[in-house]
Amino acid sequence: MDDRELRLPAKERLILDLLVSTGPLYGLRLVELSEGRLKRGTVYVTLARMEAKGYLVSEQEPAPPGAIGLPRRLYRSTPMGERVLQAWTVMAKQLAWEGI
Amino acid sequence: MTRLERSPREVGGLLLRVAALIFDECALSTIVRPAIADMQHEINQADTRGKRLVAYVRGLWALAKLAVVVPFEGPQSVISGGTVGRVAIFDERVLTIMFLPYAAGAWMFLGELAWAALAGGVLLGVGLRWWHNRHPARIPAPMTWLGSDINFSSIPVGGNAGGLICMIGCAAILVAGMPAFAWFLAATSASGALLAGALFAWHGTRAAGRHSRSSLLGRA
Repeated sequence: MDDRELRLPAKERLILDLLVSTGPLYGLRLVELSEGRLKRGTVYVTLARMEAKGYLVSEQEPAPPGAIGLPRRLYRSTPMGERVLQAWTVMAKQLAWEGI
Repeated sequence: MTRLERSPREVGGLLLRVAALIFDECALSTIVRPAIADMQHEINQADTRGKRLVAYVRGLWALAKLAVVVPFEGPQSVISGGTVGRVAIFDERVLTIMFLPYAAGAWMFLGELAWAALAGGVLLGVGLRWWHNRHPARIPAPMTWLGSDINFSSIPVGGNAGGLICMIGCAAILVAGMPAFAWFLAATSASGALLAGALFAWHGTRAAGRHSRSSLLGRA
């Protein structure tokens, strides 16, 4: 297996963590909740990549009548994303326990 | 009516038209439209002119960053988190740092012509992206990413021997056209080679260190 596939990058981990703990969120809300760790210029690219990996799904919000602007996109974690986060957390704890 | 007093829909419409010239449909639907929608929502929610201005500027800055980052996001990097994508996403400052010495060098030799070259380069990039989106060198599968690439006679050119030949050819043309650039080119090539060597060495050390330190991965 490629070494890259074993890693869950910090920003993806943070996004999954926020989605699992808070529930479905918009991109900008993720940026706000991350307290500066996610940037609005790149969060959407990370979200698109995570969606391609199957860690999360997104859907457009239903546009209410008379709404102004484009409908926003709501992101939610998938069971696979939650399992990946859980597995990564367990692995991180194991590695920490071994003093690494 | 000033620009900021226009409706968010109008602001987003203009940005979408500009974005459609740069990005392909996949990038538009998965990245650009959500970014613009959130920006419009933020502008719409702002209750004062100052907050609207801040939201507008932040949104534009975010879209400008996307214009730099998204072209580096090919299918490989999207699926596997490839090196180029990771550099673009996790440290876009690297791109800025790489660009600044080049811009400074160009300014020394070309003066104000450097601005014209920069504007021309941006326009050329937009034109190439527009053309590539409508006349792709390979037929894309539905809803897959169209990564930026260069090809000669359908031979893909990337980080390989083809790419090296392409760069040597470009350098030869530059030196033939503007001999004064020879030393600048030699210095930047040497610096680039040193930086690349250092990055390879650093990545190699980190990869080796990870495997040796991680007993779980070692057992796998």
